[in-house]
Amino acid sequence: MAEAKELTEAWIIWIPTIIAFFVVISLIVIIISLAVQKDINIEKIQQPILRQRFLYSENCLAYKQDRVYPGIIDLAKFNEKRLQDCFNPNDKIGAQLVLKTDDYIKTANINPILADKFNFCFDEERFSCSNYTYYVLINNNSIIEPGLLDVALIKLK
Amino acid sequence: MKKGTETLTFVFSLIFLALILTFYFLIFSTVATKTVETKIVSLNSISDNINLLNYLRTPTNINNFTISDLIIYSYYNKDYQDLEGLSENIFNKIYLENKCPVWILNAKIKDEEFFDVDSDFSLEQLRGGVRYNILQLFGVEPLRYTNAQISIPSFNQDKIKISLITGCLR
Repeated sequence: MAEAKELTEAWIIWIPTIIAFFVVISLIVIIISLAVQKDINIEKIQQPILRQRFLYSENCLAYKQDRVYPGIIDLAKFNEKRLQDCFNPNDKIGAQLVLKTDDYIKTANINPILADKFNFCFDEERFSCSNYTYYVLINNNSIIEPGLLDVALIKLK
Repeated sequence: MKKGTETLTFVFSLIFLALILTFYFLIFSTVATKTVETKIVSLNSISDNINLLNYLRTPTNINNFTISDLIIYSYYNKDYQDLEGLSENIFNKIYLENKCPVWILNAKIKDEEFFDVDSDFSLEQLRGGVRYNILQLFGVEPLRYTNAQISIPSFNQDKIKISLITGCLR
């Protein structure tokens, strides 16, 4: 009888320990899963990186003579076919490039199905949009002229 | 009695461990967010670098100089009128398109500033606007600043540091 009482007492003493143990283990699991599942919004960095490809890559717009000149645009390279190949977007991303000088304005749409949807950028739940205007130099048959290149990107979320 | 003390010590040590882990997690998540934000700002300054680089390469009608030549020429002639006019024309055009009301360009040689030009905009013009007031309410600076810097050699090989600071609307 005394033995049974002692056993019950031992169990009662262990109850708070077991509860605390489970609470702590649950906390540890929650903390680790929160850290592991942390969402990092890469859209903010994805679009500037993609945009810079147009100005840095010789396959896109960058002028090349012996070396590549990032920021200088070869006007002969400004066509939709070439830009589509160099940008190689998936179905979820589109771009519109507008090149402006004092004399002309040229536009190129990449992935036109999406590039036509800039008017829907207000719908931030479905689309992620950004644009930046670069000050560029344009190599037009070896004549250098200044201009502005507006690169607008639209991404389906 | 001894058993009770042991149990209490065990329980408190577990709680202490949980507190340390929570503290570690809070610190980790704050630092990680800051790192990512820093990289985004750096990416924006790459775009400014392209703008600054092209500004310096821009040909002018003055003695067939580029703007970087004109900076050196103006420094030795102590006449910055043409340079100022050209710079204002270029940067006002770029940064109005990008909704960046603030831009400041300066040139230094041996850490001594000899030329600076900036936008006509002042923060006073933003104050009073709805957007400005909402951002202030949440303690957010209404403009996001980035900095780009390029060095060019002058005649006697002293480097001229050209800096461009821009403040764009969030």
